[in-house]
Amino acid sequence: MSSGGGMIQCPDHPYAPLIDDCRAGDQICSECGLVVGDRVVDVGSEWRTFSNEAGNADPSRVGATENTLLNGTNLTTMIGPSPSGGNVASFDDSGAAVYKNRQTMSSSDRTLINAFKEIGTMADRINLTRTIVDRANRLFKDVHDGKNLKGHSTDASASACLYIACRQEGVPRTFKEICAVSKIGKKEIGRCFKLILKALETSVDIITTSDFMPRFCCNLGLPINVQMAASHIGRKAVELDIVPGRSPISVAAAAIYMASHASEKKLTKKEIGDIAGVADVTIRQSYELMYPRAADLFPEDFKLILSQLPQR
Amino acid sequence: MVTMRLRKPYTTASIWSSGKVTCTGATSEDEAKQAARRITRSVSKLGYPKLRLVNYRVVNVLGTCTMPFAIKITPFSAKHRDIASYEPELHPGVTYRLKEPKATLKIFSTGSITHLCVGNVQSAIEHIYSLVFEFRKERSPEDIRTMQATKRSRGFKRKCSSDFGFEADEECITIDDGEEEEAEDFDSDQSHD
Repeated sequence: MSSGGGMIQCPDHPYAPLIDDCRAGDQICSECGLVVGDRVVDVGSEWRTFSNEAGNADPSRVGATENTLLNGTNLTTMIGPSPSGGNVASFDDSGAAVYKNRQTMSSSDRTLINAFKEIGTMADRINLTRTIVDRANRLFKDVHDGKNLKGHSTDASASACLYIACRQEGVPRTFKEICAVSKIGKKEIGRCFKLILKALETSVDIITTSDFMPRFCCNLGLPINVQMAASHIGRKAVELDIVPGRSPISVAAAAIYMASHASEKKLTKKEIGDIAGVADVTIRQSYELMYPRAADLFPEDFKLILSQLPQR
Repeated sequence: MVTMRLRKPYTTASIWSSGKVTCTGATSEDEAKQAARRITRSVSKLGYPKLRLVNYRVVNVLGTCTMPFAIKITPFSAKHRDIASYEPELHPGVTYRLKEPKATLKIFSTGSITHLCVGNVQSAIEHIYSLVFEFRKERSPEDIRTMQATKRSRGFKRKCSSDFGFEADEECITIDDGEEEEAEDFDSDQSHD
């Protein structure tokens, strides 16, 4: 039925859009009404399942979608007692499961599946989007195939992949934020991070203060004008190179401190340090570097009273 | 593995039962060789009369130097994205890996550079000088004043580490000495502007 190139089209109207008639399984040309495609298989799902329906087991007969890109063809059928307990035939009279051998479902992909589950759990804790999780899964798959990170635990590689995915998507998370949702320490994640970059021969953009400003300010509950002032301060401080050698996170925290003290809601260094993962002495050090040029750092339309700012 | 420390030259040697010895901490190549010989002699006195120093080689040279200018490391790392790695969260310096004198250089925003290389230290530093020069940061008079206020004494730090081995014949055991690390400090003659 297809005429060259694999695309079904009407012979008289090659560029006319085709209308799907799902009841009959036809594809009909919209110009002349010719039935072009025949017996088109509907690839949608048969049933819709809702999360509040706990009673019946899922009536779908085809199972979950295949994670094709990441797992390879795995068309095995699992026989055994269902987790929801809907199928009473799988249990014998004494309540034990009849078919016990569920172990070897995917031996080579077991680490992959574990890692994907771990990445998903970690991402869920800090509310990361599906795109980041997918990217992290893909990175882990590439790393796992390359086998460069064999000596390191899969959790460490998974955490590092998640960190890289966040960076690549343009919404970097600090190492400390990733550590908070992972059981691996910062040092190990940093080590795996460098190894993965070398193994995959990619590089990531350098972090800037503006990557973290919206998130930190929202977590601290600062109004939008303070947030914009803090972003401006942070950006200016890096542009003027007042804070050489300081991590952008520390500069961002000091900028938030300065902006919040110039407005009504004055936050302590400790509160900012808790959110940003920066020690309060570090905020003090960066602040002391920025304080002499405070007038240059604030945006022009900001009503600044210099005496309001603390000296340290 | 036995660790042996010498007082003069101040070095630490790790002696393995296979006969290989690693000697670190010397401040020049000559000192490292001298330390190697001393270790050989002290081991030979334990009852191995014909001990020989074999396969002496310098394995690593560790050095620090300071540029007469500060360095803007963020633009520097942006330009050399493929060779340099800068992660401010992990380490405050840029890690620059050179291929032809096989060296690892850590470049800091203050202008000080530490290097770890196998052979020619001088060529590595010359190579990095031209790269770093375009990202120099001119120091304002205020910066110079603060720097002189917190000036540390600049001494020469050399750390040599060397590899050498013992060769055990039936009667005699030879000790190989090698130098591993060597640190050197040199400041440019240029004055601050």
